[in-house]
Amino acid sequence: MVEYLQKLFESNGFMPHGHCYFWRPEILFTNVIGDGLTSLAYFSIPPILFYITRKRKDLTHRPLFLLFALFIFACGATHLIEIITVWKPFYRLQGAIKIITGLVSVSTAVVLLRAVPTLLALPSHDRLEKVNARLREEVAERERAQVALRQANEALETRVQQRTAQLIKTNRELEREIEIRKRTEEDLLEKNQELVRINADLDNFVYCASNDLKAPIVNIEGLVTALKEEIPQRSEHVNAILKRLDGSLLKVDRTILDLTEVSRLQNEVTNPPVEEVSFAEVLEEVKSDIQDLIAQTGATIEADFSRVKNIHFCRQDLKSILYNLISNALKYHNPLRKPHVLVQTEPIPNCCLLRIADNGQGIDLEKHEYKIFSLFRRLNDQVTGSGIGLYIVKRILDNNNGRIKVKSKIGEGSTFEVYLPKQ
Amino acid sequence: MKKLDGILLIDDDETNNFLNQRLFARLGLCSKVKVLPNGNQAFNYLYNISRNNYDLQSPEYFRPDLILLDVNMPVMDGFEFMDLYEKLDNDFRSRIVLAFLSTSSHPLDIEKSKKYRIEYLTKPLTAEKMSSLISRHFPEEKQSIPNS
Repeated sequence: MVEYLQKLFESNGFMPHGHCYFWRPEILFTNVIGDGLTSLAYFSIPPILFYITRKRKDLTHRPLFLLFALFIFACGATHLIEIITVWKPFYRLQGAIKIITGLVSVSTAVVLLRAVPTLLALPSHDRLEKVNARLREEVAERERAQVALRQANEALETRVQQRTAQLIKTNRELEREIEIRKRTEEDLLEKNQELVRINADLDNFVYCASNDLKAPIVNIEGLVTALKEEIPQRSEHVNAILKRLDGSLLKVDRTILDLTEVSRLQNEVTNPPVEEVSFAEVLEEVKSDIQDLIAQTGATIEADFSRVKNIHFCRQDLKSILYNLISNALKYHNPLRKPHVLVQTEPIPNCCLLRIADNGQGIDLEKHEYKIFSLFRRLNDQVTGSGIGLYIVKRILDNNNGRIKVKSKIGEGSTFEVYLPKQ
Repeated sequence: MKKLDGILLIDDDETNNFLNQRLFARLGLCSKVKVLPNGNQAFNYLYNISRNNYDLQSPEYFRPDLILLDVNMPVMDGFEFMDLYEKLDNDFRSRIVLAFLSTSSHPLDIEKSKKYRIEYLTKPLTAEKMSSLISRHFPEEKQSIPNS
């Protein structure tokens, strides 16, 4: 092998190949020219293949291309050596070149064979073209869709902006509204405080009035009594005047007493002394207080406390309720008949119902419903009264979370229903 | 009715004082009645008497058996007077009966008066009210013995 390579360019002892052609020019030159042209062509193909592999970076079968280039170059070399051996018998070199060419050819064939499936899978240009066209169509469609989308987006955007503007406007309006409400609330609070102040002033006024009026009235009473004592012998005229004086004093006295009661109620809102009180006992007290009135009118007072006998309540308050309602029933009695008053109790859930029914004049409730429990409201000018009684009753019930209802028919009588809460 | 040595009226209402003095006279209750218009003057008066700081010959100065005290008065009211009065000499006070005499029947005033543990009378003062007050606080027989 080493000897073969050393003598690669030795031609001693061999004849040039031209001898086989007998140096006949027509055979020799057709062979030489044919081989020359072939090798020329073979040598020019590999650079082209190299060029392609260089330029096309995406080439999938680059090794195959390179192997082809080598294979063709090797074939070119066999044809070149054919020409050389016509004159120079380098047969060892020719053999070596042919062996190399053979090896390269075989490996190219093997590689090519193995690449067959992938080469078959490579799409053809037409197919690619079609795919491309479809892709372009798709791209165009997508662009159209995108345009539509953009338009929809823009429409949406404008709507969003419109809505936002609307919302901002509404928001501002709401803010203004809230501001106005706040101011109204503040005003209301202020007014409320003012009312509380005025109410306190009024309470104070009632207290002062009852207190400050009382002293001079007590004095006048004393002075009238003194006057009577100083003049034991009096004329009819003087007696008549003194009687009127007594009557007026009585009225003022009663008013002041009622005012004192109102003042007591106003100052005792927090916790009036509560105890177990018997209805019958309190009624007896009231009857003895108004015995003159009962005698005057010839009234009968019927009581039925069989269903509720006692109640946990402020004694003074209960007495005040009974006193005012019964004395009213007698004062406003019907002149056509003797007054009859029925006082009853009845148990109802969480309450005790105290009913005071009379056969008196009755009240025109349509006209007076809201007035009857007001301070200094008198619906009747024929009967003496201070206009405080029902206000006191209402106030007591308000203080105790109670209620009062009235039913009445003109000419037939009135029924007051007092709901006393269980305490 | 038992007679008293002297009565002190503390009230700024002149008419009321006039009527009360007239009542005492009619009842023949006592000859010596001193009237003072407010708590301050009354306290000074009683203070001087308790210290014997006065002219024994003067009919104006005497130790009263009974003091009738108004509640609402200018300068010093009845309650303020009571606060000071309770600081006076114990022995001096033990021989004096006190009662509020007021127009007010207001529960707040009555409640406030309770802590002084004295009588509370409402105006007008009448013969009945006086006689019941005296019979409660001045028993008849006790004083008649030393006098007889």
